[in-house]
Formats: sequence, C-alpha cells, structure tokens
Amino acid sequence: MKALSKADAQRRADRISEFQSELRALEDEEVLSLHQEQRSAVATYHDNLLTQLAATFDIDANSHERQLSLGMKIASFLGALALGASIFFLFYQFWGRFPTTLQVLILIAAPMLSLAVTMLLAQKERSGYYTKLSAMVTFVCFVLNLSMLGQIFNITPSPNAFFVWALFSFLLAYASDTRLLLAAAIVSSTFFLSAQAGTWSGLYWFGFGERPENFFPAALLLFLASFAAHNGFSGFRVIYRVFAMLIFFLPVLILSHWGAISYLPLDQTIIEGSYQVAGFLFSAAAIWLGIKKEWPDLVNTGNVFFTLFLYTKFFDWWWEWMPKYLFFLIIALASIAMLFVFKRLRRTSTLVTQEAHR
Amino acid sequence: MKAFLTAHRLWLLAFALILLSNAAVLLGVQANASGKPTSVPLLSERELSLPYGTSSRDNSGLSLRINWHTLSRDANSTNRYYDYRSPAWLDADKLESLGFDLQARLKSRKKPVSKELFIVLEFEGNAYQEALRRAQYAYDNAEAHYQLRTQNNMLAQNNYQSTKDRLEQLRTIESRLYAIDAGNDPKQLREHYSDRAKFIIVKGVIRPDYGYIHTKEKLFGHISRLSINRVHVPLKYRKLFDAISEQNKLQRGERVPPRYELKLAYGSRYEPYIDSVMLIRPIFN
Repeated sequence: MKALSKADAQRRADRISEFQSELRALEDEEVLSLHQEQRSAVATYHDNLLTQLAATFDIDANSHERQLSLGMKIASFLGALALGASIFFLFYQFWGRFPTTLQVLILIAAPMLSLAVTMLLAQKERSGYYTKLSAMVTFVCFVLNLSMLGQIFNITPSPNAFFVWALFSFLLAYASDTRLLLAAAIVSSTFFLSAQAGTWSGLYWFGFGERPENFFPAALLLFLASFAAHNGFSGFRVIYRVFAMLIFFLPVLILSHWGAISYLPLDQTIIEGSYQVAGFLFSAAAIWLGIKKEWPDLVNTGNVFFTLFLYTKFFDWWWEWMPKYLFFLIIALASIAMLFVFKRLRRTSTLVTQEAHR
Repeated sequence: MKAFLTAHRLWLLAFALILLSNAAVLLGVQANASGKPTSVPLLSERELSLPYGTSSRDNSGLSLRINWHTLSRDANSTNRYYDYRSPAWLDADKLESLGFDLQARLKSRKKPVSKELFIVLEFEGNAYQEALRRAQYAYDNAEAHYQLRTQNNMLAQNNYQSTKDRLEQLRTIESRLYAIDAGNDPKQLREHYSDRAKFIIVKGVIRPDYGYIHTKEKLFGHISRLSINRVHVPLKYRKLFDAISEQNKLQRGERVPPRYELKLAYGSRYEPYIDSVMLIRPIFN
C-alpha cells in the first residue's frame, strides 16, 4: 500500500461507507444489481481493508466515532496549551530561588525528558493524541529553555533563537505528524527569515516589521515547500499554502495603504497603487490556481483577500462622503455579484466534468 | 524524504538539537565572561534600580533596570525635562556617518528604520556635570522669578519647587549615566574612550526621526533602547535585594538615596554580568 497518512486512511474509510450507502440506493431503485459473487468479493475486500486501516491508523468507523474523535482533538489541543502555560508559570514561580547551575540543568533537562516521554508514547500509542500533546509540551519546554537562558545570562536578543525553534518544531511536527507544531515551525521560521532579510538590508533585526517586504522571501519559500511530497502527513501541504498566502497578502494589504514603509524608492502614492493592483491580481491568481488544482484552501484564502482588497478600496473611495446605508448597499451588491460569478464558475466546472464522463 | 528521515531519526535529531543549541549558548556565555571585560563601571542603585512593583507573585526572578539619560538638544533650555533620548550629538551628519540613508527620507518621505549600533555611556562625566549645570541654571531662574513676583503666585511657586526638586534628584537619585556617542566599531570607540570604568560601550538601537523647527523639517537621531536594558540578579545576591524590596514596600515606592553599589562587568560580547554587590547604606525594615 502506498504511504498513507491518517487523514488519507480516514478519507478512504469514508468513501467505502458512502459507496456502500450509494450501492444500496441504486439497488433499491433497480438501477444496478450485483451478482452474489461480486457482492461477496467487494464486501470481503472492504472488510479486510477497513480492518487493516483501523489497526494501523485508528480511524473512525462511523459518525459517532467521528464526533468523539473531534472532541478528543479539541481536548488534546486545549490540554497541550494549558500544560505548556502551566510549565511556563511553574518555572517562573520558582526559578529565582535556584542557583544558576540548577536553573541551567532544569532548563536543559525539561525538553530532553519531555522528548523522551514523547518518543515512548509514539511507540506505545496508536491514536497519536497523547504523543501530539507531549510533543507540543516538548516544544514549549525548549522555547522556555533558550529564552530563560537568555534572561539569566543577559544575552543580546538575536533572531537565531527563532531559527533553532523553527528547526526543532519542524522535527517534532514531522516525527509526530502534528499540524499545530508545523504551524509553530512556520511562524518561527517566518520571523527568522524576515529578520534576516531585514538585517541584510541594514536594519535592526527586531524591526523587520518596519518593512513588510521582509516577509516575501518567507512566503515564497513556504509556497514552494507546499509542492514537496507530503505522503503520510495529514494536511501539511494545506498548512504551508495557507500560511504562505497569509504571510504574502497581509504585508501587501498593509503596503497598499502605507507606502512609506516600503523599500521601493518611489513616491508613496505609486507604491500604494502598485500594491493594490498586485493584491487584486495575486488573489485572483490564487483563486484560479486553487480551482485548477482542486485546492479549496487556496480558493478560500484567495477569496478572503480579494474581498478584503475590494472592500478596503470601496472604503477609501466612498466612506467619507457617501451615506452609510448606500455604502453598505454597494458592499452587499458587490458580494451578490461575486456570488453570481462563483455560481457560474461552478456550473461551468460541473458541465466540464459531465462532458469528461461521457 | 520520509523513507530516509524516519520518525526515530527525527527524534534523535531533535535530541541533538537540544544539546547543540544549549552548548552553543553556554559556550557564548563562557566566551563573554572570559578575558578582560570591555567595561567595568562601579554603579549604584541610581544606575541599576529594582523594577517598579517588585516581587511579582508569579515571577520569582529579579532583574535590575539600567537607567540612563541623554542631554537635551538645546543647551540653553530652561526646560527641566530631557529631550526624549535625542541628544544634540546625534544629528544628521552623525546619522550619515553611522550608515543611515537619510536621502531616502528626504526624497520619498520614507519612514526611517532602526539600526543596532554601539553606544558610549559616560558615567559621572562631563555630560552629567552639564545636566547639573542646566538644572542649577533652571533653578536659579525659577528662584529669581519667584522672588520677583509676589509669593502668592502659584505658577512661579510651583516652578520654583519643581526645579529645586529636580536639582536635588539629579544630585542624589537620578542616574549619572549619559549616552555621549555611538559608532559601528566598538574597538574604535574604545580607543577614543579608553577609561573602562568611566565609559561603557553597549549595544543599542538608534532610529532617525524628524521634527519641525520653524516649519522646516529637521532630521535627528533617537536612541530607542539599549539592546540589553536589564541585568539578571543571581541567587547569591538575592538576600540583599529582597531586603531592599521589602523596604521599598514600606516606603511605598518613595525614592531614596542609593543603598547599594554594584560592579557591573561587560564581557567580550558586550553582555553584562554582575561582578559584585556592596551595601553602602543600612537597610531598616
């Protein structure tokens, strides 16, 4: 069997369930009828496959189990956040009363012990919930480790800590298949790359936000990373794509209204106008690419930003002088127009699919 | 990628990363503390004070705040307050010599960016004496003004009292550290300011700023912050500082003359550490 992630296995199980329901419906309407041999062969194959998938990935067999799994995911997430916060405050509560050597030993031992526990859980536990929780706690311990050492020894703040945290978080994310850790890794690496871009252009690293274009290299790298094969990792490519778009479009949105903080040696009005055009073009391109590649995350994020760019433009043009009721009416009409366009696009897509099946 | 980097290998790499990063940090700390310190001033509570609202319930750690000033740009100003970290020496020429591109601001109205540079802090030197002179001048003016007008004039009376308090604070309570220069090369700065006890070379952040004087735009520099503006207190000195914190609580934050002196050493990476602490006034609880 090709390398599968848990999400892939769950999707396969869901398709089997839907297939079985659809087959029953077709048989009831006398559209299709399978011979006993065929029925038996399909049922045996599906039963064996579901057993194998359940044993390997701990998937949900029905909607009831799916709901419980969702509850477990939420509980795991909240538990990880709360445990991480607890560890932070526990250390802050007592660290001032320890000699320096003991402080250092505790700070180094905490992530190592937590990592050992995570490794053990990964070997013993099939579902992965406790492993993911432990992995997130390990990350929190490591962030505490380096940030507290910086405080104890009065170390000059540096973007290198973000690089190390990003690397660590990537390792944990891929080892434990945890999207939240991947998000943490992406955020840390974005800070590092943006700070480096800022430093190379001569500004203080902490002020990388003073020039939003510093975020563009990180956005590009993340988008390219989404094209790498991620078989066996649930939803990682989506995370890369969504963050890449956020990290690209938010600076573009800011620069489209505040050209004074751009690197470009041009008049402020020209910069703002250029970024507004770029915002519309790139968000439209994202929607197009998302439809073409069947990436709903790209379509949705592109939609959001296209709408944001459009509404902020309306605001610039009309808010000051137009009666408010008329302003919001125009926004509503624009939304309806977009609804019409998307409906037409969907209809076109359906017709194309039907043609392909003939 | 997944075939080579199995989960087991990734866990092991994570272990290695914890060890390597901690080793790198501790080696850096060792490097900073080894060799001759770049600066070794003997400072007091005036320059390294306890933070406001000490002994937080949730944080048992303690760091002292580094207090420092700059002289206002206007030498003849009777204003008893300092300019907000924008000294006269940090003018447009100095900013250009530090590598700031001021033409971008002039040509295209760009918001200025910050840079991390080396800043020279002078301890109880000419800048401090000048600050005292200006405060004395302001006080003398206020006193003369107060004497000329009737004693019922509240404004003159308030001004007289505040300049008197200000002068007293400068003499006894306020920090004697003043930022007097900046540069890109700390070695060059140290050659110029060779007294390691009097001149501290620290890392700090400078940003060009602009204001309008007689409707004409003027560019000047602003020292946003020191890169390290707090110094952690190790456990061996906590007893003394805890006693002072308790006294502060009883005095409800009233500022008093300094109770301790502290030898602060700046290592080869310009990162500070406390070398020794001495009590110079008794603490009564």
